[in-house]
Amino acid sequence: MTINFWRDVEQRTKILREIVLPGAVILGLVMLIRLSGLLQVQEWMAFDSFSRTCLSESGDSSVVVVGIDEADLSLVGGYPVPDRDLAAVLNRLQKYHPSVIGLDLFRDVPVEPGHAALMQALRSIPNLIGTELVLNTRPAWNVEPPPDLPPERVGFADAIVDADGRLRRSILVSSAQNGEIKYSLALRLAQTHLAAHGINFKPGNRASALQFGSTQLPRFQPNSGGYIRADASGNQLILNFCGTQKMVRSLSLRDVLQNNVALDWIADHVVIIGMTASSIKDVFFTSALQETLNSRSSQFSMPANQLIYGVEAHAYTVHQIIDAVQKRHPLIRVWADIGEYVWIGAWGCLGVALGVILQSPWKGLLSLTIASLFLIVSCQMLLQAMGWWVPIVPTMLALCGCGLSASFFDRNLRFELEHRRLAIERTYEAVHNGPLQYLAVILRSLEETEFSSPRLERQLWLLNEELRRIFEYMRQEVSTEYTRLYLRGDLVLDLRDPIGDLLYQVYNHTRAEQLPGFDTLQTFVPPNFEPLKFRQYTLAQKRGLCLFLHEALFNVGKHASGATRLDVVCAVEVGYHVLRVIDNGPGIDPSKQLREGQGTLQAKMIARDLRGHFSRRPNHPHGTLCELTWRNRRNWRR
Amino acid sequence: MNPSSRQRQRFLVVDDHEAILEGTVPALKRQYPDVEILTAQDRHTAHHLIEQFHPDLIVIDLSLPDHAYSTANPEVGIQWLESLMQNHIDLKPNILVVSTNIKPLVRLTPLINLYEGGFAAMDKSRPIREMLKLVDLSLRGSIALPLEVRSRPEFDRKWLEVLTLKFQYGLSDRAIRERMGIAERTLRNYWIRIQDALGIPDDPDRDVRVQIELAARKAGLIS
Repeated sequence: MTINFWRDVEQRTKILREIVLPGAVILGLVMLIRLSGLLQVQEWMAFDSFSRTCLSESGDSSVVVVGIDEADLSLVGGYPVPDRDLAAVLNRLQKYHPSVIGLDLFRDVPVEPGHAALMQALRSIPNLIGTELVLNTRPAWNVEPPPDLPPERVGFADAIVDADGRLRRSILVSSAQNGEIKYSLALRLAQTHLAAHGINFKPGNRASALQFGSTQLPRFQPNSGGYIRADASGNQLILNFCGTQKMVRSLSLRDVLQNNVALDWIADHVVIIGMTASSIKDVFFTSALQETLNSRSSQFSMPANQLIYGVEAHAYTVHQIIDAVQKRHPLIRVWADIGEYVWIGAWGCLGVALGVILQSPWKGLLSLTIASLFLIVSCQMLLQAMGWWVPIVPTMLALCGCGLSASFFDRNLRFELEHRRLAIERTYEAVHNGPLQYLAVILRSLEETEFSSPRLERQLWLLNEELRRIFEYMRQEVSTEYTRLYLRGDLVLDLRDPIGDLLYQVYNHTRAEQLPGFDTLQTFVPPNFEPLKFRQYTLAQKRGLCLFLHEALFNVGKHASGATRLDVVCAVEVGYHVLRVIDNGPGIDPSKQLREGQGTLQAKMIARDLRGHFSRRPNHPHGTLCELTWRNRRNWRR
Repeated sequence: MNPSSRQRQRFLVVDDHEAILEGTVPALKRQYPDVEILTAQDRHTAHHLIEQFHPDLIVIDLSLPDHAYSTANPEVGIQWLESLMQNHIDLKPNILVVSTNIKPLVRLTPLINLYEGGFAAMDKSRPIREMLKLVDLSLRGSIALPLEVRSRPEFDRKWLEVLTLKFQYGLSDRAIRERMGIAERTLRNYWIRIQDALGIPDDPDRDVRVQIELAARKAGLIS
């Protein structure tokens, strides 16, 4: 038993070394590559594609953009828009009772005519937020806010883009060069709008998240989602374009000036005025949106490379915050780093498992494809339904890399063995059809010749035996450790043989042993293992069945002294396979029943592996019945 | 009844090695001078000869070429034997396997137990004398397998059924055959195998069936 156990351990470590190890190396490599940041761009792109393919929900948008386009510029006499016109627009908008107006135009210096009118408007409209630029490291590049606005009615318009030039984050809070804490235009707008609805803003400190009412805005971390060691200074938010496809409405300056506006578009809404003229470059790249104001107006659409206006980006940010707070729509959430690596590792393990279980390369490929599709769909669902950004690129690499490596190594190993086996079989055929035949002729006719000497005869017999043994030895050499099963008394089985053949060999071999129980046996009722051949068994299952039969027969030989009959039954009974060993010996000794022997434990493990049941019980009228039953279903594994 | 048994008896020897045929055929001729002996060197030819001449006994090597000029392979012999023994047409010759490796026969043992004809096997390098003894056993309808194939004598479930029907229900041979759906020759051979398994010698002074009943009761095979 111990020998079998150690052989088993040895075989398992061999599988581990030859198949699992390459998988583990690949998994480690994938994780290293991810840690090095080389996969960032791919992960961003995947994230954008998922966002873009989200189903857009129809619903009321809380934000309206008043965009100043080329036509507006020619109407007002060119850029910059004179203060007079701006004042007129602000006053007109205020009549529709918006919850807050954001002015995404810099007015640090007067643009005459009408500067006084604008100053008047800024002072008289309490829910107006002006804008500034504060985050440039060179003070000369920053822009001051309109002079008449108090600091709590000013938000910064600075944006942050990723290394691939695309906009995915919005910076909400930051400290300026002089250490002063500054809020962004979008945050100010959301804050004012929500305050009008009775929801208070809790600014939070350096470490904690910003909070509106009971809703926290998840704070961007250097390793959030697909980011690796990103600049997470201030308080940033990953934009959830998935949930807000086609959600920003826009008007032109002309629409407002000519009163061409539906009242319910503006009343109680956030209105942001900004530039949407293509001659004024206030744009970013994005590939997470199906359409932007730019693509809508130009009817030129290339979803992977859209232009989004600065004012539009603010609008999305405001909209997402407001929806998250008021309608509980999800913001982008990410797992802790450890969770992400466990997730990648789990899919890598699945890949190895698929490669090992489905030993055929086509089945392996098919199952990997199905698993990949499942991974993609589940990532998309997680993003759409709950806002989870789950790593997909390294996960997919781990799954496919591990799966392919496992099936490649496994296949390579088997291919090589198959080659050697064939060569040895050819050799055997040659030896068998030549020397062995002539030896047989000599041996069988030896008795009839007068020259025969017992010594020569014995030597020829030895030669005969030797030649055969060489073949047996070579055959054992080609079978790998895990296709081989050793049984007491020098029986070596090749587990690739059909299950029926294996069990016959075990049956015939075991009952040949000199054991007390077998000596008195007069009647061996032989089994018929034919019913088993209609189901496929894995190597481990075959090993289990052989060990079970061996152990059961061996127990009869050891304990059933005085038995005269040994029945081995193999049958199919209502959807179950039954392997039964019955003797009519003295039966189970009740005093020994208390402890479960190693054999019983092993039989139970074998039964579990086959999802079957093991029992040993007294047989009527006398003797012992040892039985293994398992389901007669077709196995889908090869 | 097998039509050929009324005429001259025929044996078929199948072996792809000239040297073996040269040893086996003369020995058989000496022992059975009245028997017509056919030979074949591959499975295909042999099968045709069996269909054509209905031999009473075939002596075969497991390692056979499938067709003339192909290489010999033990799998060919095993598969052929399997199909011969499962054959539903009335071709059930007695069989003697003479081969350098008879171990693969292990998996055919359930078929052999239920086979209508006699079945014997031996290693090719055993003396010719032994082969002739096995020819007799096979013709008689017995089963004679070496230890490598059958390490202990067996008692097939079907034979037990014959015993029960005969001595517990008192059925006639005809009724037993009908009940079990087997041929006359099969039942006759089952009786011979039961006799062999119980170790009852042929003795003209004793009734074999009564001897079988006594021995079977003693062994607890029938109550």
